Amino acid sequence: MISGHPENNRERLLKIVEKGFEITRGRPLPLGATVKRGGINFAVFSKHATLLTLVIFSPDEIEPIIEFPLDPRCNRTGNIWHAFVKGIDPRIQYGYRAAGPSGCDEKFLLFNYDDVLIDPYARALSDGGRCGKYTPPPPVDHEFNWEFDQPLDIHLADSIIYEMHVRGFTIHPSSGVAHPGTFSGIAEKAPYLKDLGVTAVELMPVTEFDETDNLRVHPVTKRPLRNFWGYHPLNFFSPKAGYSCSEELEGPITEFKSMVKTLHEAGIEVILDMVFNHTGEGDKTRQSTSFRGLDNKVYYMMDPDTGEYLNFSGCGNTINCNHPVVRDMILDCLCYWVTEMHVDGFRFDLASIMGRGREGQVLRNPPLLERIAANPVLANTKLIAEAWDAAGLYQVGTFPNWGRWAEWNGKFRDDVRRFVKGDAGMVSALATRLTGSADLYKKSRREPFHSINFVTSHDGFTLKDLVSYDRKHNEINGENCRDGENENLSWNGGEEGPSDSEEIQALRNRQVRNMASILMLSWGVPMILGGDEMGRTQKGNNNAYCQDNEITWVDWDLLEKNRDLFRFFQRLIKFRKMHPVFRRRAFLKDGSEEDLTIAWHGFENDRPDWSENSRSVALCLSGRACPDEIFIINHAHWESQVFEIPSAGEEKRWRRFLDTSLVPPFDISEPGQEPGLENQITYPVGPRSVVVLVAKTAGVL
Amino acid sequence: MLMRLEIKKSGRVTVVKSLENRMDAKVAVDFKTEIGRIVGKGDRWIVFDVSEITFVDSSGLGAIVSSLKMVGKEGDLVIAGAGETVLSLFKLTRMDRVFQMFATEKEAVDALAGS
Amino acid sequence: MNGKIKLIIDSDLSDVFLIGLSVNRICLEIPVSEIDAYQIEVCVVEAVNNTIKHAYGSEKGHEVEVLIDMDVESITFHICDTGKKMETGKKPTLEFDPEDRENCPEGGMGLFIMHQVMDEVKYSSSQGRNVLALTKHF
Repeated sequence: MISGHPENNRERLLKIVEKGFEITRGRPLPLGATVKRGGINFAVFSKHATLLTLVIFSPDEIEPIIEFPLDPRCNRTGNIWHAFVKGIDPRIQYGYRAAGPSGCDEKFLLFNYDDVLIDPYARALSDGGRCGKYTPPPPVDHEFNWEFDQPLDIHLADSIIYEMHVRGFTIHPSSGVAHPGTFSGIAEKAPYLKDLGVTAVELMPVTEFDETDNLRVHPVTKRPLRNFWGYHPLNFFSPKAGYSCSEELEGPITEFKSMVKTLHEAGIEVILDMVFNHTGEGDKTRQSTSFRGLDNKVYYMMDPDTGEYLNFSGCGNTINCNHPVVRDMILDCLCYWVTEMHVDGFRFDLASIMGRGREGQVLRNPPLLERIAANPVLANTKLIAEAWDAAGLYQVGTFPNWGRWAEWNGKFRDDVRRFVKGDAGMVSALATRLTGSADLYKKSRREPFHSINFVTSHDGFTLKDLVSYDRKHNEINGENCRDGENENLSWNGGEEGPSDSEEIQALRNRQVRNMASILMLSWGVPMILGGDEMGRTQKGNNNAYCQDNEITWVDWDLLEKNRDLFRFFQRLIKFRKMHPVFRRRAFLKDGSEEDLTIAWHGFENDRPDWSENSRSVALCLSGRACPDEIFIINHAHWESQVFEIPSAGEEKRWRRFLDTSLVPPFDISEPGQEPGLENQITYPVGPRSVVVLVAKTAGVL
Repeated sequence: MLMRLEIKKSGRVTVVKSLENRMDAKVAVDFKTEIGRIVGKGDRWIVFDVSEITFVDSSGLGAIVSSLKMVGKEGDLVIAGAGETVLSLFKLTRMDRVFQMFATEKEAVDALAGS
Repeated sequence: MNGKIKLIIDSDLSDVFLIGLSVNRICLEIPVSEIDAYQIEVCVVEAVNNTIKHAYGSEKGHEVEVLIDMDVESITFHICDTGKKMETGKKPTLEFDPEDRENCPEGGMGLFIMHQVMDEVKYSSSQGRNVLALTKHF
């Protein structure tokens, strides 16, 4: 007898095949593993492979049971390899092996037949835990009862976005949820989010990534650091198994859908942070898990002569986004998340890379971005670009947009931070930012709501740390503090880090409220960093991508300690929702009759001081679009100042909505119940404060 | 196109020898039909002589797997006379861990006759 | 179309591409699809690579001959060398580790692909001259 151990696989194989087992041609579309008509259709793209083998695993086993090398004549149409397998248990798991022409130019093609590769269109990667190692996926035919779930269609102009990390949001024991660190955890916090008043959550990467992919070690605890944030995708269709409490293969999909359904019921949309600029496969020295092993030349941008990877992402490789095949995959992916997972929008990480061509050249009319903007399925989906890349391309205000794309307005962040910390010469810039950044968005023929305004995001300090630290403190990231932004435009108020001084604490509390106020009362879409409303701190770490611990976990005990801050945010949001003037759909057109009047003031009415040394500016909003007049004073000067208040209009009286120099609970009032002012002529503004007055008809509460 | 097969019986063992060089989609169906016919008669000890075969593609492999399933637990289907390519193909696809393989038809028949 | 041509290169891996180019161009003239033409080119290149590596131990200075023979319904490539013979025939006792992928006959993946793509793959050896014949019908 020749062979050894035939019994090993025979039992396993016979369990998963039926009498009608056969492999036939199949169809090239749809790509992926599709369960239908009593069989599974497998289809995968590879232009350059000369041999592609379908590898079958029985459920939850590590060794494959059987492999079928596909025939390039019958199992291939164009560059898509396909097969239809009938009479097999649909719970099997599958992968591919690919071989290329031997002696093929390894500068450009990297085939290794030993690697079992993940289908780029896999819907569920079974990792069964947090080890980061994947067994190949099953074909997925997911049933879910959405009941009456429909798109909320909240206009971008009316949106208030809350950026969060799935695991970080509820993993801390203080969260009190049944399944910490999961999609279910977020669903359990829907009432909290509804109470706060946000209209959308923006989830940091939810598709599968290897969180153990980090060679560094925590310098103090000596434990391995992780990739916590997840900007390192292995696949674009599968929700991360580690963010689900389910043991089953399709469990994460069910859990994700349930989360979306629950959030929608609470009136909250779901925006996903998508990373189409690079993959977690890293550079060519790393093992291939999927794209590189299937067709390196197609999926990655490389130098046309040397084959060296172009690195616009700073992460070892760059996805060849404008290659027609890759474009198709990205579109298929976005449509999948919208149609199957009911997602409401996307934020695209390092989106400027999506506007680069195959050799890295910056394109005028990038086909990918145009297709996304024009795709009918995505017509009501929110599209938000992080309009820069890691190689110096900066396109805030100039991102190719076709009137559809919104952008993270990095200039808003920078200008507001500067203004609030008291820099000179920032008053004009602040005015521009308050009114929707027309210099960026009107110029590019867009509207104010295409500006996603933010003062903090996952990249950089939290709001609390922004006012507590002058410098970054990233030692525990294991890179000697070389990582992370150096220019944070932050100010510690007099002492670095936690302070016992009551004066400094009061100042910091005020500064936090100042920034929150400016953020919420600007035209454009405000985005809050999750946890800022309770004073979350990362102890000065401004690049906490690798910390999976208290540094990045939301500590829900802070909510109680900082109830007044929460209430401040909550009321600000309510005020914004109550007054449409902040949610304008269009810039003012020059010279024509308008429904809104913006009057700029200084210490005295109609005398705004735009000079270099000015640290204050006030604006008064009135007109049909603003029936309750609103007067906002932004005073970043370190000395108090009495401001003249404009007259309130017929039969109206000024009331105070907020004054950040007042001690809570007087800092902000319940919208609609603002206390009236005795003095209707002047108002004393404390140092470094924001004051908001609202004029209502006297006698109306 | 019918798959050219030579079928003979030796005691309780049926030897099915392929006269085709390539076992592919064209002949896969015929092969399964033939095995089905044999199993239908009650014969469950089958030696598949592949000495003439130089190549099997995935539909051919599928047919062989399907045939094994047809034979079921009360019998066996084994492979005899695999040449270089078929042997390496079986190894590549892990079929060698599913099927008993014999160098010659005689060895295979002897093995199935007694067991 | 009918015709024959003989291509000869030195046993130098960096010259193999010339064979590939020629094969590809010739295949454009026969009624096979573009994909098939690509696959055929790959097979012949595989075969030539294998010859250089295994028959000649990657040593330069030897001849590799590729004879292309076309007729109305098929094309045959004869890859010839005067080096070490390829091991063929059945291996009666085969102690192998199923995990061990290295333990494949000469040519490994290449030979397998050839069998996938070409309709006939025949190897013969006589008087010091080895010939691998690959035929594609169309």
